[in-house]
Amino acid sequence: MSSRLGLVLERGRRPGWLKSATARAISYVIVGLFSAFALMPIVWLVSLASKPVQELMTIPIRLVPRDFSLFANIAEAFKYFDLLTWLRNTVIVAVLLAMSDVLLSSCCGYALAKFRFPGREVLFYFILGTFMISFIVILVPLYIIVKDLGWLNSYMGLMAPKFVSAFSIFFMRQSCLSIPNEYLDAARIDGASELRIYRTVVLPLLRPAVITLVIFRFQWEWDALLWPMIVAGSERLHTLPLGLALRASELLHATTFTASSIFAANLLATIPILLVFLYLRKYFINTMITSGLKL
Amino acid sequence: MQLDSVAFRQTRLGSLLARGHLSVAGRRARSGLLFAAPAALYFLVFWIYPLLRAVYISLTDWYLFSEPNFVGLENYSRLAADPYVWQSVKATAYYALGTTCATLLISLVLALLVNGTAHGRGFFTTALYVPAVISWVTAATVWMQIYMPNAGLYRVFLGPVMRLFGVQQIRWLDGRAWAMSAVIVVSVWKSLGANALLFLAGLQSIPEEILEAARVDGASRIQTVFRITLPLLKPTVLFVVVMLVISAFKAFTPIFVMTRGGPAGLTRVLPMYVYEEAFVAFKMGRASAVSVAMFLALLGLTVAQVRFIGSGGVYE
Repeated sequence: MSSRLGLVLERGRRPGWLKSATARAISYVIVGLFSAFALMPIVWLVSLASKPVQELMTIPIRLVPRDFSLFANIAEAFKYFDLLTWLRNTVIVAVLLAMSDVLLSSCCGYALAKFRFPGREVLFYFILGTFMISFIVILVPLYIIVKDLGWLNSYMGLMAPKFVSAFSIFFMRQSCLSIPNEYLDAARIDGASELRIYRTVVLPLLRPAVITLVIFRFQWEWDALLWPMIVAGSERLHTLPLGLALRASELLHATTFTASSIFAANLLATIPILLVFLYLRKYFINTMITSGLKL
Repeated sequence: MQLDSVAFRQTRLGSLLARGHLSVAGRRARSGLLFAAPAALYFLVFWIYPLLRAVYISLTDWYLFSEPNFVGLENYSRLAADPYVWQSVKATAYYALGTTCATLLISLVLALLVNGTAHGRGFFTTALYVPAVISWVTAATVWMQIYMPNAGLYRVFLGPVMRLFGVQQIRWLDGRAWAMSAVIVVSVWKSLGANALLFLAGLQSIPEEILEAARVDGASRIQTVFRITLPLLKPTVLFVVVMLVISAFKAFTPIFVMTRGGPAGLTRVLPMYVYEEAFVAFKMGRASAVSVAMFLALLGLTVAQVRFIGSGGVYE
């Protein structure tokens, strides 16, 4: 798996199939243009977050604001929006879900990869099948279930649809498959219980997979809108994406004094995940490649 | 086989069921089941049971604040005749078609081009992947500004063209002509990098020997691409297409943030419609019916895609 990753990220492993210099030049231009297109909104976000409200709607449109007010906007963002509450809720949910997801999916993936029991194949395809159940179908009944459990407007309710995801199980199973059987057998011969083996042999070996899943989970929570919107009744429980989304429509009337601070808030929300991405790039890309190639 | 015979007890199932001494295989199997049980249980309770319940609710006329009455397939026949439902289906179809085709084409071309040059691969793949890392909410918020008729960023790039045609402003998100395309552009922007990466990985897993053989046989570079590389990429293409369609059918956040269903419901894709029916109008029965129908349609669509694209693989 990591060699695949290396192939994609490293440069110059192969010379590349384009031969003529013109072909290569053209391809650099095209790819460069799309890269700029990809990055442009991020740069623009920084620019928008640094502008005072008056400058947001002025023509001509400038990249660098005449009146740099990023920090003022950030301060306003904290004043107008309940950013800390949103952040707290999002982080709590993300951490709890990351823990439950890693625990449940590693156990299940381990079982699917290294044990043989009746119904194993059925279970695997069954879990794969839940991939197909789009969240929209279970939206209403899940809401009813959460309501009946008394979990509405609580952290448990926010977590309900995502204790463990089929993708994590799939991913963990892939990772467990590459654990050499010799380690497990050696531990068994030494008399360790299965639980002990799982804790002391399997889990440490799964560390990159665990990190990947934690990142994946955090990225997901920073993004989740539909379910939190339905479950979080009171504003006390709003998550970061929910709060920001509900305020986004204020942009339409940029004469609203909060317009700049919305961009500042979004920038604040984006920076952590961007930094994590730049440093731990391979963990992000790992999920993509594994899911695509090993199917 | 007799259920109390020794032979049966030596099978995995038999050793599991045996009351007395478990064999090694049996003990192993039991541990495996115990490890797998929590996750399996979770899926049963929180995914399978709701799915069944959704089907049941779709057969009632349940309005959240009243008692549900069983009405059979009435919801389904009603929604088959409902113009709003069909508008939503059309919007979803446009959206799915637009995002899938555009993303597929662009990310495939990008992957081929990046694979074709030796330098800067790391930089390009990282840059292209950044939109995928940004949260949908932030992305939608920024693009909302970019699309603003008076002072959005789009003016910087389209300004000359607009002046040419004497157009003062373009109503992207609240105009009937461009709303859907505008949303599609944002979706494509977001998923370019991830899919290009997938294709890139697929491209690099093509064995060097095959390409060598083609070159030795005198195939031009272009011929190699179309006759050999692309057919070998079919599994990846299939995967990408299926994933794109499935996520297009699920799209909620971009629509909600940018258009709320668009000018006169033009961008009200199915998830948006279900959300409004269920949590704004509280018509749980109807909402369930729509979502179940959508689920079945998506299932059928996926099977069709696998059949259509998956067959005729190079190694068959």
